Amino acid sequence: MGQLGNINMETERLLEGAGDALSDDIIARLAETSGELLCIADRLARSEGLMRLLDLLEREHIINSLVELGEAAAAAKASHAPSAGGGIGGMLKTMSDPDVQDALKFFSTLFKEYKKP
Amino acid sequence: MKILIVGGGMGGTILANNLARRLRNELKIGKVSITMLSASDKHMYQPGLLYVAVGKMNPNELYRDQVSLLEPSIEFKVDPVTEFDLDNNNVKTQSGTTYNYDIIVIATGSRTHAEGTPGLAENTEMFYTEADAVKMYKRLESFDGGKVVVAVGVPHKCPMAPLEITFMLVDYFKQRGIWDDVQLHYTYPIGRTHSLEPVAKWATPEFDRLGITYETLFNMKEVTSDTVLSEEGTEAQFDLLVTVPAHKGAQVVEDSGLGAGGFIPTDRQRLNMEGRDNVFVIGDTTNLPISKAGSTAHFEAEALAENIANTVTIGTATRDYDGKVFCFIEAGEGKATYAMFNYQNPPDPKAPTAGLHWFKTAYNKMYWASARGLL
Repeated sequence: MGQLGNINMETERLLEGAGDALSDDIIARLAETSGELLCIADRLARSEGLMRLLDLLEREHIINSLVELGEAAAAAKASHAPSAGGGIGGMLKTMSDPDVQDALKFFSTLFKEYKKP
Repeated sequence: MKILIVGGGMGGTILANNLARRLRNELKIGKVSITMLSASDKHMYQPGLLYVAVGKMNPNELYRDQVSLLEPSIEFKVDPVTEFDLDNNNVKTQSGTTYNYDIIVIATGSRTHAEGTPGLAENTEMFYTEADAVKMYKRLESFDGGKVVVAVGVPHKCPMAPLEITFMLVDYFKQRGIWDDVQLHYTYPIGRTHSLEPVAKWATPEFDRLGITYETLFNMKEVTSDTVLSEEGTEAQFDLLVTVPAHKGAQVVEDSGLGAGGFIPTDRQRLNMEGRDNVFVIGDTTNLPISKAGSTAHFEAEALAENIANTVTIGTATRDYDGKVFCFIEAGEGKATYAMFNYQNPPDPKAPTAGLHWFKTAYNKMYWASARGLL
């Protein structure tokens, strides 16, 4: 009973303190933020574009490809590879790289999938 | 099917969004279109004006772009209606355009009609437009004490406004430290302090407790620079007069002969204009003997949206509006209560609490989610 009484008193004091600490301004700001978040969540939840993107992101091969892409980006940044030479020759050299071709193929597949109804 | 919504206030906006959600597929394939015609590209949170009048809110907090509140599938035009031709299912607008419809919803709201009482507009403070609310606040700031009279005309928007402004004035004067120099006198047109008897039973002892004097059966007849004369032959002298003036419906509704005083005869359950199956009315525009309040428009819009959507999809309406109204009542001293009622059940306001005041404060900011159809 003593412990229960303490819990009740603690809870009562906590609520009283929380009440005293709040102000109309705080309530208004919290409510405004909550309202905005609710609106954003609603728009996102009903956005067809976002739903299709989420569907895409659930496909195993897309997830794997994105992971590979991330790893490749990290590796590229760390490699300090010399920049490609300019001009048509430089472009042809870059395009003949199998890794570059793989990357282009990846993006091509990605957009094809996205365009599917 | 063409659905035309006239009016972009609370009722029209909630209805349009609710319909757009329910008829999403039909809108997508072009089976249905929803068009809203409004007089403004801005949407105002009208209950906030009460707070502006006592310096508790800034007018900037009351506005949002109307387009930002509407579902993208709704066609929105700032083009106020100038003529309703209900026999031919069309309306004409300020731009000269004629809009045809299969179903029309009229939600054009109401406006103050202070000029209906001689001398009132020139001698009173009000808070039903931004300009009036700001003017009232400036007047309060220059007021140093004396007799303040609150007077009420009927019908008026927001049934709780007379009580709320009275209690908020007490707070305002106390905060300025001049309450002891103020005599606050409340008048009301019928034989008790509020049209809803349970609300009057709650409010009257509050007046007694706070030292607010009151006079019932007081209908404004004429106002001079320092006196309000009543139809009943009494008078109240004042140093500051604050009124909730009588309201009328939209001018265009009145001019089109759709209803006396601009209020359209409306079926209380299906919300169609009496005698017409494809004309619906919500919010302040109805002539229903219920509160002209935002929550009334809100609950009517929900019921009507369901009925119109079901008419489109299964060919029949399914729901009756039950008369539900929910009104917060700011009671001063950082507390509030509420009145909830419908056609069958009267309100039963309880003792005000700080929690309900915070709820109301929160709702003032979450209104925009409500307008979008989320709350």
